[in-house]
Amino acid sequence: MKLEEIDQLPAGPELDALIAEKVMGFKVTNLNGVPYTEWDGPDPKELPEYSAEIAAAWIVVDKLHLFKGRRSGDTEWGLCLQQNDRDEWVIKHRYGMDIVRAETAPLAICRAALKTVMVNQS
Amino acid sequence: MESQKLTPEQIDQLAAGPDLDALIAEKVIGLEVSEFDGQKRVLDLDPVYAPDTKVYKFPERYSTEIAAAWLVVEKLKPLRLHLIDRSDYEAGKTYWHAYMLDTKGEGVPDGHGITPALAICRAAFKTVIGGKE
Repeated sequence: MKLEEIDQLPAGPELDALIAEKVMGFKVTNLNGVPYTEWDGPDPKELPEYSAEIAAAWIVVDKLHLFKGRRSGDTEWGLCLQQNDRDEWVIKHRYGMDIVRAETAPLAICRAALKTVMVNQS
Repeated sequence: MESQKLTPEQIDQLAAGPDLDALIAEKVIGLEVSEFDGQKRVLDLDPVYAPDTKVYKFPERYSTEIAAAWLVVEKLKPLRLHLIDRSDYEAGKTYWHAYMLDTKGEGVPDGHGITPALAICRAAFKTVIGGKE
């Protein structure tokens, strides 16, 4: 997946599964088309709605603090989340360059997280 | 706590917890707050089990939980939140800075805290009781 394609990802189970796998490090399993994380109890464990709920998205924010001190090019995780005058949520890193824009804060966080992970892995 | 008498500097010293949550519920969200046995409760606007009576409940944990703090962000629209992680992770210090811009792009009072929820609450409280700086 290219970085530009991440900007087009909508909120929903597919993006939640990507976050679970690529950012949170879970193994994701599909059951009848529904993604679940691996579980060791009797019931499958549904994915948090990272891309739709701010509390779940903040788990991603906290996870990415593990990227402290890692740099690749201009991408260093240091969250600046702001709402612009077009009602978009924008995430910038410490050097001022936009990382992502999205219609909600959770979606912006998820897109930024995916980009951050991809850049750090490349 | 007499919120009208608090200065911005005093608001910056308010700790996260039930007292600040109650202040936010009353001054920012606009809920009726009462005290029962020394604990602040807010009027439940949608009591499920007793729709015809006044029911009070604990306030949302605005100052400690990001989902509750987001209710504050939503309440203050059209003010636009800016939330910045200024943590020094090498030093092991977390530090968040929250401020809001009005529709003209002008800033209103800001807040700081060791969590984003606390920073949002302090900024919001200063905004509603202090107006523009």
